[in-house]
Amino acid sequence: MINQLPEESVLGGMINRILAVVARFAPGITTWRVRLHRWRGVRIGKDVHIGADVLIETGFPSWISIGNNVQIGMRSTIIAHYHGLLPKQEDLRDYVSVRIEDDVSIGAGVIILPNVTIGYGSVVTAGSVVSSSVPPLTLVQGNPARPIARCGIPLSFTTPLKEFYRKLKPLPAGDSTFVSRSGDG
Amino acid sequence: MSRVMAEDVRSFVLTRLAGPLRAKGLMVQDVPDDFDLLTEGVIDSFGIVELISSVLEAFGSDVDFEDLNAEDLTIIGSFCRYVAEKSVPVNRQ
Repeated sequence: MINQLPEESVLGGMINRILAVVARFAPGITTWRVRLHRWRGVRIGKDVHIGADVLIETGFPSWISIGNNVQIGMRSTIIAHYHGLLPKQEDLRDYVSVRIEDDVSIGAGVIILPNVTIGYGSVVTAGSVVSSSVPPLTLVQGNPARPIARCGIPLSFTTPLKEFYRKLKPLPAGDSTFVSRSGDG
Repeated sequence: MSRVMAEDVRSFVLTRLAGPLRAKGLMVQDVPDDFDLLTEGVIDSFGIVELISSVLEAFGSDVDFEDLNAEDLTIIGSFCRYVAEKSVPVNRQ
């Protein structure tokens, strides 16, 4: 049996979507965009950067959790629900579908699909499609995104790019160290 | 046993990057010592990972870039000299 989408009030749904549209193009990479998404219900930590035209889950913003010092590149999309794979009603309280941990850097045009965790300090390169969870301090790339290197340090807003590159440790080709959820092993 | 020379590393790296260099109108032999592969658009972040990976495979898996100035990582001359200096001597027939 397929679980049903949670009920959404007309007014609440409308406000959520208006805020989502405004947040896409509002100025304020660390201020207004972040504030508008918080008002929608997205759980967002401190010092988060949200680029222009970022689309964060239209229907169920509270199913997204974004940690501290996270950067989300322009035109990225984060999706938290599939119609055919919804949580049970009794699991809805505090339900999180997409968890982006502290110090994660997401490149431009990335698509993040439901039920994934992107681990602490990981980096998703531009244009990648994240369809399974990413271990901490891992550089992933491609569609589907696969680990290509271990990060020596997170790529924060103030980290010199070459310093980040210098500390990368390439992974052997074909190394697949994805886990279903961070912490599950 | 013979030492790895910076010229060997340079030749190996630039041969692998001959395609993107040609696209920029550069021949391998014309690349200056202070050429920055990243800022000149020859490699991107994935290219850096591939470059390091292939160099480690070819010249010694023990090379650690901790002692290299971060700014020099993508400068062809300093990168090749560093790899040559840190590589273990190889058996050549």
